[in-house]
Amino acid sequence: MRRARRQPAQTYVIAALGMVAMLGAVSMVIDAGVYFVLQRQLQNAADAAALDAVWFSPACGPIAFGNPPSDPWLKAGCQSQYPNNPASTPPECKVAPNALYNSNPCSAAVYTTKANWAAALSLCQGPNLPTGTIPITITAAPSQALNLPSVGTYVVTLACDAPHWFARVLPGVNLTMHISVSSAAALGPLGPNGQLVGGPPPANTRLVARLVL
Amino acid sequence: MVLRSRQRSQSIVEFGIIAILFTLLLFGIADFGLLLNDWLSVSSGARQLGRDAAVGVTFPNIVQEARALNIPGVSGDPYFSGIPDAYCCSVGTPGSALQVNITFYNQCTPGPGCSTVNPAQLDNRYSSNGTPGGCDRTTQPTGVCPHPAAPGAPNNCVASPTVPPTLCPGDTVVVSLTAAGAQVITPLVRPFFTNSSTCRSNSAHCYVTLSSSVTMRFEGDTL
Repeated sequence: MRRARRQPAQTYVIAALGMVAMLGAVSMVIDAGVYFVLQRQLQNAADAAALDAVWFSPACGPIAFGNPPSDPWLKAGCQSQYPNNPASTPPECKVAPNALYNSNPCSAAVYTTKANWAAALSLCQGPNLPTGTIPITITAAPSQALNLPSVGTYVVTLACDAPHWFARVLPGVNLTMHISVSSAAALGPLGPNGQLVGGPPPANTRLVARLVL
Repeated sequence: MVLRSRQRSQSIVEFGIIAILFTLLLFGIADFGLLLNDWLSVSSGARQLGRDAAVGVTFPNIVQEARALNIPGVSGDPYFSGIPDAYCCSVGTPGSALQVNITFYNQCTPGPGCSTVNPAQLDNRYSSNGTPGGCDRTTQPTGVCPHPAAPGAPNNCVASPTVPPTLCPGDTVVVSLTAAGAQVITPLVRPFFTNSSTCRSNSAHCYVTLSSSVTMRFEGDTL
């Protein structure tokens, strides 16, 4: 009679415990999956941006400047340091007037990032951010060549704080996870085997852009 | 004895109810995982094709590359079985499971005020074997260049001690890859990923449409 009282709920209890464990695993997998998908999306955008921007790097000639851009991201997102000519530090990233596209590495990086970030943007936008906030930050700056001296290198870094959709209920877990990706592209003379070569560019050598990071 | 026998049956019924939920959950997870795998393949494929288009691979070769892409689970739907080029990339009704679309934009990133450009008139001033471009930064200081580049003008994006390469904006290429044919087999999960337009009347299954696109600057044929 005692067994008769305890047994009927047994399956439900086991099922409930099992369901909690499985849903916990599912939530962890979703959070981790969001991280990896987002990282891949941001890396793609950063790669395209760096490959685009490096064509406008100081290694390829001086920069054209015009009126201040109307797009606040061009000012907010870019650093402007020009290693080839540190004395004439121009103001923040500017675009040429009437140029639909861009004419300096900074704005090229910003425009190309924005053209590719649609998928990442929706994943980065979590419930903790006010509607209308752009959650991804862009940092774009020329860099000293990593392993190819005298080759112009441009680095684009994208970062966002994506929400932890499920792990946030656990104690000690932040509401967001920080994701940051970098991409560096170099522009240099084309070598005999299709690779990028360092050293002073010989005259009439074709320039090519390659990812170097 | 009678009591125990009745209890056992009850527990079997309970397990039957719970097992349905568990099975749905498990198969839903598996289905979603397969779908995510497909989507990552599509995304990676779009990126690969985009980069190739950006460095001057022409449309027929891009399509060949798209045919060689291995996107698991795509075109498994019987709906595509009668199509001559079932995997990629025939267009029509019905078309192949995998569709490639390449659009070039005239010196701008896609958006308001940005127009497309004919692939035959692409900005090829970085090209070695195309028609040399004619965008000289000394005559176009604002970076706005005539388009397409004037034939016969010097190719300025070569390294030269006296003539720095041009800073012209260049064209933008957008490659989008759309894959249909990935299937969700779990009942009750399927409606979340499919709609009536992807469930054909002559098809045993519904398929999910996965799409990805990349935007890159056209760099000319540097290969």
